[in-house]
Amino acid sequence: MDTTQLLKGVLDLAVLAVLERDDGYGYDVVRRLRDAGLDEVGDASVYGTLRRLFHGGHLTSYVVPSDEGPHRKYYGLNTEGRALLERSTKTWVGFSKTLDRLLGLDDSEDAA
Amino acid sequence: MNTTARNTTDLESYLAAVRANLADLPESERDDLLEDLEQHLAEVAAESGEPLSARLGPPDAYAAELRSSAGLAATESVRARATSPQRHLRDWATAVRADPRVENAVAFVRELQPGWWVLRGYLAALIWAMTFEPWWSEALPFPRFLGRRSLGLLLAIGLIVLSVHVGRRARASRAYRRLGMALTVLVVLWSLPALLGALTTPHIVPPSQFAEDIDPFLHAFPDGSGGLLGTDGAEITNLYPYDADGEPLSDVRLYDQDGNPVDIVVERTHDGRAVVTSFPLDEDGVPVTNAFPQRQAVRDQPGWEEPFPEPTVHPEGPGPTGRARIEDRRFGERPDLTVPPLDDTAPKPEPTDAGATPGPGAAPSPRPRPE
Repeated sequence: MDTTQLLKGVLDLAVLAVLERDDGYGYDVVRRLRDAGLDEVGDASVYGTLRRLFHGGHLTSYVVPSDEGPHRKYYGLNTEGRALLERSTKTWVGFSKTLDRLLGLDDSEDAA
Repeated sequence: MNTTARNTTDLESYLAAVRANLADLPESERDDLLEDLEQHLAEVAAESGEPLSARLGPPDAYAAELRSSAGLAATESVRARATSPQRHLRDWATAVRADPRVENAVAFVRELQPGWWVLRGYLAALIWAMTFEPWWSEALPFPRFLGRRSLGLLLAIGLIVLSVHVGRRARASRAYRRLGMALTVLVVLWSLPALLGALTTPHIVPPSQFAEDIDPFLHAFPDGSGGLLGTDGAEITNLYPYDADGEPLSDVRLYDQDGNPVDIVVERTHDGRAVVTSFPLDEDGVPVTNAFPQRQAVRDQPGWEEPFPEPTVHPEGPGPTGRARIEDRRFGERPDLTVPPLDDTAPKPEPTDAGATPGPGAAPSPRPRPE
């Protein structure tokens, strides 16, 4: 089963979750998602998701000067972002429970 | 570094390819989406020497992924289904822009752009003059800078070069485009009202017949009046100095006991007509208002722009009291007056017995006497 298809539906949630822990700039978010095990996450998808969430008013953004290279644009959750994360988490938990039941799995197992 | 240079060109070409793949998006949307993609890709590129396309896939796939994840439609036709009012407006604007007549008009305006850049620089120089230079409107069309037209011309050339530079850069860079638009709005809002005011108030008259070594200009004062009062309480509108030989003097600069210039500025005749005075300018281009006799004329008198009266000496000498007979002369005209030379052998004349010389006897009563 192609995880990239699965990822599309939950990338928002994953990005919000990563930013909940710490603010981050685009590539930093990509790395943290990959480090967390989402190896297939697309660079462009993360970038586009960040832009979309930011435009939807769920993220704050600020620029941090960097010693080498260009300034980095950091993103972080605002109140709306946190609310969205909370809602999405509930949706995800309900969804995954339903699927677990459907598959006859009582304990949650790592699908990846 | 060799690798850095290679990375940079790799990055640029990759970015350009992504941008090209998003060419169908409205400009603002695309610029917004790509705002910090370069920085983002630079991070990716900095991690290894591999070309970007090897790590991120081909640019067109990257662009497609970007598009879908950012919630932008894949193609033009899909985008049309969107129904938000802004979308409608944007579609409408796109349709209008695509109209050949509009396209022609836009192309025409684009071609005129360089001319406007030049104008913008010139107006910016004028703004300096309006704000900091006295009597700036007298120097039009030159902007005055530090009192001089020549310096103003240099300033204008400098600002025009700057303006053209900004304009040329604006074609490629969004930041410059914003800067250019801001400058344009600022320059227009700031300069045009004052400029129109200066041009529609006809108080500037071309210099006519004055000596070439003084830079004359003419100025009419719209209202009010300021001058000296004679002992009889009547306003002194001009002073005509004569030297010891009875020869009329010109451009005599007068100062009072405190060293203040006696700068009569006559704005109205006694019967309320506007007076125009031509003042010589000093080195800084500022009018000298205490140089006498002043060259005055009544504004609505026929031919007032042309012949400022030349001094004429009346052949028959002064009137019985030494006073000018002014009934028939035009305003601003030297009174018919013959001033006899002083007696060299006599002691210095007291002001009171100088009945023949109009100056000291008519000292201003409201001002303190030097003695």
